[in-house]
Amino acid sequence: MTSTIEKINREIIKSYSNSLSEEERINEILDRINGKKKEYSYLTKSLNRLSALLAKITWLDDLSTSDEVIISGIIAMGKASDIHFKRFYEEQFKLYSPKGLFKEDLREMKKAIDSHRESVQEVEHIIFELRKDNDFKKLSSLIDEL
Amino acid sequence: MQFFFQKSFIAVLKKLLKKNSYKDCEKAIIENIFKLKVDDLFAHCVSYRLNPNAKNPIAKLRVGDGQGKSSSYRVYLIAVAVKNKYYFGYMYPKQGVYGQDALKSTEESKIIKTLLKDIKNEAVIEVCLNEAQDKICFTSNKKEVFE
Repeated sequence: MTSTIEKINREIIKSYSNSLSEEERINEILDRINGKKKEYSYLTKSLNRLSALLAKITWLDDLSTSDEVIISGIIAMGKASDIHFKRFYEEQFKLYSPKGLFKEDLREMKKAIDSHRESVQEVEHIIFELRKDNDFKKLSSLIDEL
Repeated sequence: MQFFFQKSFIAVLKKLLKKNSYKDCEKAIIENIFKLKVDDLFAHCVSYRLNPNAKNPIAKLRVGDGQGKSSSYRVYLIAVAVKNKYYFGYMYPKQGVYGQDALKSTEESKIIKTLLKDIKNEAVIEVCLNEAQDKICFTSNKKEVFE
């Protein structure tokens, strides 16, 4: 026959075990949230760094034809990556936005993705369109005479 | 460093500041441009040089809102640097009510042409920061440009 104390003991052990596993579950969720935040932050920072690097291309002097080939490759890479970044953002947004999670992180990521895309477009426009335009070339010489 | 605005630049910025989504645009320009007390301003903010191998760079600068704001915008400014003088000729936002597509080569050339004309005719207005460093003022009378 089970004594009262044994029954209480079993109940206590069960309760402690439950609360411990509950705590573990909460910790696990928090770890996953932190992991996601870190992942988003890393991508955002990398994209912002990429945008700044892309802008630097326009400050290089004496670009040769072979340099332009390299730049074309960078632009193609940027455009292809943009498709992946956008898809990743949309998937994450669909997953977490309805739950109200990672609102700020996702907003910063979206801004960084847009900036990156604009940088790719700007570099392409400046190197391959604007600088080939005769009107612009004349204007540049006049500006240098100031 | 000396800063000069074209009249049309002031007009565009005034129009933007009236809209809630761009209300801190002046602040963003101050933080991202005016407060960069360095000789080579263009090297210290996100900027693209339009003219290659140039003595006087024509640059497109990107200025955005700070982190964590509910509004989200980026504005592009076109500026010419002649020695330590920075002339601002045009700005346009990428998002928001006045958001627009990137400029075409012909549009950019037109903007630079009018800026060049105004620089030559000394029709640009010199501006600076007020004492508190939180507003842009006319250098001549210290009145706030966007009051």
